[in-house]
Amino acid sequence: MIRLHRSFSTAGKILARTKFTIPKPPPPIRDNVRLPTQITHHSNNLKITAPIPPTIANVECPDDHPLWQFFHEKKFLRAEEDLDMQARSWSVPELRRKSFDDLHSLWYICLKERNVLARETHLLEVSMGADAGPYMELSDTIRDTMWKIRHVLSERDYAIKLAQTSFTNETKKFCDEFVSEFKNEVSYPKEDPATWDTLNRFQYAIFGISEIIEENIIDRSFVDGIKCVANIKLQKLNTQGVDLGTITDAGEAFVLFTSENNVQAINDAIKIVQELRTTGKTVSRYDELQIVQNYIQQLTDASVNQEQSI
Amino acid sequence: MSINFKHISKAGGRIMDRLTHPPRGMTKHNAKEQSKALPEFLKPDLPILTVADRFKGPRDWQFLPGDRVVIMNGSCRGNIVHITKHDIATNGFVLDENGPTKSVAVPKDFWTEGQTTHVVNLPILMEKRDLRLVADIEDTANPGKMKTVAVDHITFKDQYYDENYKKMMPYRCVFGNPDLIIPWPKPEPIEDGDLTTDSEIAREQTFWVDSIVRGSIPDAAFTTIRNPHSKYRRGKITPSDLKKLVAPKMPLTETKKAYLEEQKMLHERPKEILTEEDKIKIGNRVMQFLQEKETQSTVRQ
Amino acid sequence: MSSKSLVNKGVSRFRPAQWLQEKGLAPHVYLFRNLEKGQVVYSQMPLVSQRQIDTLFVRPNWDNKKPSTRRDLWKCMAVVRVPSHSTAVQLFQNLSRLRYMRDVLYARENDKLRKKNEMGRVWYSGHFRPGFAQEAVADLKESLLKLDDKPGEATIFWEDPWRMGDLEKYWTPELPNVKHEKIDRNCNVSREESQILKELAQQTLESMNTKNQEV
Repeated sequence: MIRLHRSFSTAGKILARTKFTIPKPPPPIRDNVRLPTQITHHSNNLKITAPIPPTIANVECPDDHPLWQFFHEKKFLRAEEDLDMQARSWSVPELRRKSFDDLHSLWYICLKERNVLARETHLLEVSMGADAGPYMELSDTIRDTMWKIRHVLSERDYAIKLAQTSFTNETKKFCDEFVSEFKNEVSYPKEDPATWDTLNRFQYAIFGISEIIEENIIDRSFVDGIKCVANIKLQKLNTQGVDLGTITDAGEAFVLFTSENNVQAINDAIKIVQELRTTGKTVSRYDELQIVQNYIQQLTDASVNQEQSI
Repeated sequence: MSINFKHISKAGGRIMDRLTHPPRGMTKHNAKEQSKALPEFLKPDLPILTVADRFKGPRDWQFLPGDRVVIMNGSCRGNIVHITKHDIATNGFVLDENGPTKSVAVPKDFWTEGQTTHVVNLPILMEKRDLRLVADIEDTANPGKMKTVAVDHITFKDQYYDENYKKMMPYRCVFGNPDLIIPWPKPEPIEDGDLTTDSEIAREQTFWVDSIVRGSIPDAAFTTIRNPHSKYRRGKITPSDLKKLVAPKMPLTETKKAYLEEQKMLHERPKEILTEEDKIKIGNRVMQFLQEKETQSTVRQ
Repeated sequence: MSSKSLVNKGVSRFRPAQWLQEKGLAPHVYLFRNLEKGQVVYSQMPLVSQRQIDTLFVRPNWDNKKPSTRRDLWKCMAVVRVPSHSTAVQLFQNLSRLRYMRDVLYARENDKLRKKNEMGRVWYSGHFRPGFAQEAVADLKESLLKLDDKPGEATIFWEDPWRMGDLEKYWTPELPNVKHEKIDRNCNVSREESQILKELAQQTLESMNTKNQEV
């Protein structure tokens, strides 16, 4: 026990701890000790090593990789001797004989070949510093084919536009001639399917009415065509002698147009037309396009449903 | 790092073109520089010609590879040789081993396969004027036998489709005897390349006009077939076009201006017409002069 | 707003294993590659932050400039999946330590290991130095080898197996238990990267859960 009494010189001495004083007892072991949150440390035996270079052996390129289209037979670079320098471009007269689909495919074949050549040219000129003259020459030859394709198509379009303008005046005359010829039972017998093929070709040539319903564009020439074809069929197949006059109503024309090409079907169609006339159902000339459009839509839907049910 | 981008851009192509199509004044200089740059074994025997001066087709060449010709000049004069190749750059003919040759030293980098020595014999290029075509024709003296002749002068007439060359070729005839046709030599057959299309497929017609209303080209294709905004098709002249089409007004010098003004003044001056009064006045003056002359002469007499 | 407040503190700080576990993060280490310069950043989380760049690039120089945090320039090069969070932390520490050793402690030795061009400089093209990524691959191998707990038991998901190096020469002899897999590339890899990494983490956590249940 420390005596506490007033003093000047001794109090400090007494209060001070010296190494001879008895140390404080350690605190009791706590049960809720907080462990360090960070216990790991980087390893001490680490060494810097040489870099690991990448390797192409790990990459597998599929044979159908789209970028293979930029290579000729999967070759990195063709030799100059392997180029087809004897080749010439397609001439305009040759291309004039080819359909749009053929020209379209040819265009893409040319484009692909030019892609291959452009890749090789770039490689030679830029990476190797070599002369890619023959490659560029061949590319130019192919380029000639490409502009010629465009030229032919453009020319074809101008041709049909000019023909359309100059033929408008003659359409009526041509149709009349065809109608009078088509009546002839000797050259165009009713039972012969070739007769009706002729009619199909005629309707496509003059009015642009295709046999495939979905392909058609409903415009003035289509509706005029329906009427014309309806009249032709009526004249050819109306054996009963019912006089309907000239068909001018689009609704009536549509009924006759869509009927089968035989006498029985036409007779049924005539009955429907007569019914229409008795009920007074007519199509105004102003609504014709819209109504025919609706009819065609119905036909398309019906055929689609039929296909689905099958 | 210098990279050549001439395969992508045509920029600066104008300057590069000067190398291949040099102006006339530069040709001699260029040829000299070129011959300096070329090693001896690569130097051509004939001068390298400009593209315009080179032979264009069989009419220019007259002899094609495979033809037999006789040499008219030089060391091998009188030899009958075959033409192996054309040298397009010089309009020269490369002849077979019976023709003139030269020995040149070739560095090892340029050795061909199987070559064992530095010195090789190379054919000397011959010009057209030193060669004459050799042909076998029927001997008129011995019917049924052929004789070999050299044709001094060749002409061409008409043309026909040559199956061997697969193109139109002119008939090669003897000058002054157009019925004597010397056929072209048969070329070595060319194998079909990768880009070949079979002729039957190429000629097959797949386009038929079957409708006047519908064209065969889909609408979506037109933007790539023709440029709808092409300045050649829009039919309008823009201010920038107009500026290019109209010549600028040249400024006039002071002298020219004064001259034009004078001309204008002279042009505007009223034209003076001889009146009857003037005519009488002139007549009187003339009469007076003549009378004076007459009186003088009488006085002298 | 000060720029400091924009720093994502959750990402940029060093995180111990327990924290990662509590937050439901997978025991992954992410290696991000800079597309512009080719440098690599190691990260505990699927993101790159300024503080990570500051700690990993302590001695920037002409060859090894400090990269920016531009997100379009950082692409995940590899994801390393290890069995436990503490291993993941140690792997991260090893990688960081090796970077410090390469840049500071053994800079000269490291320079000798680098491929040089004909001018005697570190092999480069413009700003790009392909060596950094190759060094990172070597470091990854070294740090996996020297792990305290189950060394060499890991799965590495490579963005491009090309970068992994020759499997037979470098990996299999020393680390036969390391599995190498490819990150699925059937999508827009740069746009969907965060989603891909998230899915990977989810897969790891799920597999860990099933393992725990089995135990």
